[in-house]
Amino acid sequence: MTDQELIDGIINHNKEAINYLVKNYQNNVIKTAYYFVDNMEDAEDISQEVMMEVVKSIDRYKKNANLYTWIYRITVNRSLDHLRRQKRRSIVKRLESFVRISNDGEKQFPYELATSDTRNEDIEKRKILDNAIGSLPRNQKIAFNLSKYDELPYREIAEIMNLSLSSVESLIFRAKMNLQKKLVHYFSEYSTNVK
Amino acid sequence: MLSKMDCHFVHNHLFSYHENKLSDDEKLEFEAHLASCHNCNRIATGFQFVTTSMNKKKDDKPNPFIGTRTIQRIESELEQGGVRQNPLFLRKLQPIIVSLLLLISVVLGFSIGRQIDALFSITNERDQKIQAMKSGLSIPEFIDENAFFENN
Repeated sequence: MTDQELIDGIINHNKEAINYLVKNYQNNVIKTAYYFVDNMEDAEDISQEVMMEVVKSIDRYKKNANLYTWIYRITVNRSLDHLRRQKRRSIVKRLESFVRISNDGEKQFPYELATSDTRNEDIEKRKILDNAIGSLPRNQKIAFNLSKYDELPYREIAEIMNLSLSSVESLIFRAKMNLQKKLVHYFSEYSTNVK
Repeated sequence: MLSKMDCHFVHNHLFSYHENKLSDDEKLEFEAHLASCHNCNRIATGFQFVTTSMNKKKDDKPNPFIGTRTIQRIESELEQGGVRQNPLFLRKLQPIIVSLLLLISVVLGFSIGRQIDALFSITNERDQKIQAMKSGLSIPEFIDENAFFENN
């Protein structure tokens, strides 16, 4: 099925076209979302939202871009929206737990600290890596994830992000430098803590 | 003996080293430094985890039934009319309706204002007529009853 046949099929709510869309695009959408949100169930939910949005807004798709690029763009935006919502929720949760601790007068540690001892080293390291990637500026994070995880060529990343090739190169370079700085600090400190 | 600059070089080229993007000479120098610097060695070993972790993440698989669930969800939303039938039409119609409503309310406001104005001018006219009649009959505006009886 060509892109044009697929688009026409989706506009006409053709079952075959919708099946084709889901079977050929959803897995990559899940993977991209997963690299951003780091939770498979959330990534699956995001992929459903993305598929729904593609069906709903297919008339907004401009044919000068590749269909896949357009779907990638929606996926990245939905994933970042999800992260924003999650951040807001975690701030509220922290505030709630803080209020609860002050009200109860008990000396409880926040969840993160209480469970950190029980986690094994690998999980902790992975969390450090995810946090380091998560703390990158928005565009650096998108460019880095699309390059390192999705293994997309710079040209395609530039198309998805609506940027020039040189901007993408610079974003990825800066993302790597920032990550190196953060992780060197962690591993260096970590090695002295372990001693 | 290796200088401080070498540690700095190692810290700034960890990705390049693990992605095999260093030249042969740089790679040799990099590894020579790791052999002699305990801290950089630990950092480089720790950094190897980044590559492993990224590859592990790539291997994680989604629920195999997610596709079927998604198709069912899309179909049920289409049946319920959850998906806009003609979003372009709606998107253009909505601002037109809102602008028309705004225009109607402005026109209504003006006409109500004019009617109230006309009502006030009628009241003023009536007051003026009464005033004229009063002055014609020489009726004082206010009669001080005590003074009136004392005088008469």
